[in-house]
Amino acid sequence: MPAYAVNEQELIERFLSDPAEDTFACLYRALSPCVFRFFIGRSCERSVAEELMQDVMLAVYRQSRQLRDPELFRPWMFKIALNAWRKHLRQIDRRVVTTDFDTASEHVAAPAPDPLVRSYFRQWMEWLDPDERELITLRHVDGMEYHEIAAVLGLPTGTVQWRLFHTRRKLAARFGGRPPA
Amino acid sequence: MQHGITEQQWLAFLEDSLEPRERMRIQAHLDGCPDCRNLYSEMHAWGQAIARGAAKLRAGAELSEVQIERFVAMALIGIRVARRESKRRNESWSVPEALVLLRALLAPFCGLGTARAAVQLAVRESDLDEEGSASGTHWGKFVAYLTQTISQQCGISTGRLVGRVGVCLESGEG
Ligand SMILES: [Zn+2]
Repeated sequence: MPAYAVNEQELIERFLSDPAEDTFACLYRALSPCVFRFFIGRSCERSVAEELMQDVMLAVYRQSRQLRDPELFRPWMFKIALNAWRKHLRQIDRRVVTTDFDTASEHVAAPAPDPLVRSYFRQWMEWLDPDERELITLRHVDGMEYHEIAAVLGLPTGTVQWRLFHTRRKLAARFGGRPPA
Repeated sequence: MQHGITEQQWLAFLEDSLEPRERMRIQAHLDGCPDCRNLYSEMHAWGQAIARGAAKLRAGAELSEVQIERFVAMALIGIRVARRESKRRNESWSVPEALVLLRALLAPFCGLGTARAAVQLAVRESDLDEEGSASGTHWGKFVAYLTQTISQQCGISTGRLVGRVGVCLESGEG
């Protein structure tokens, strides 16, 4: 069981059994950083990530009655985040068509903490297919367990593992067996 | 699957989460199989490289406690707006109610003094009727003006928030 689980699971259960403002506030404090990271990890600009995070947390509050099993809370929340992200990308796509590219690209470029390491990682991610990129991001940036990723994407856990392993092999085949340190 | 080792087993072996017997079986195979040893060292190196890249990315994604508290406050206000709106659908807020709410919303972001001053200025500039309801042309002007002022003084994302809330107060979407 991962380290976040104990305290966080308690907060989740408290909120689900009594979805009030105070239980929601506690849940918000505990989970919003993961949701924020979710969007930053997809190269989203900070201010946009903040907006999307707020949308996701409010959707969690509004839709919490649809979810009964506290064990499925995290995948359920990440699914909401993933849908919000896909919707946002569609909106950007539309904007790119109607406005110039510079305006739209402002919304996707996040500041680089370490240009070199980030640029390698970015290069790999950009080269992968969108599905593969999503898997790597869910696993390594969002730090999700295999069964959680399976629930978010609606795939069997074995398939998630199979694809993750082959995505790594694909990277090694393309960029060499010794990735830059 | 390669040489009797499934992808799941490979991942678990790389993460050191296999049960001891399986782990020993795979280790023994690796000791005698250069292909699998090579695969192991490549997958291990890539696992670490990906983890490093992901960690750097995460390091740029911190939220301070102060920032989180602001978002919590904003969310709670959003919830209250929604709850109230569901009670009185199609009915706009009165201007005094809406102004109280906007000031409360802005205070954590810009400080109460700036929030008050910005709201007051926007009321004047838009010629908003302070006895009326939060709807119509004057309300639209008021929201636009406030959005602009707040964007300049407290940043674009707070400005956008004002714009959204202003529209919600008028339309009853919540
Ligand atoms: Zn072998």
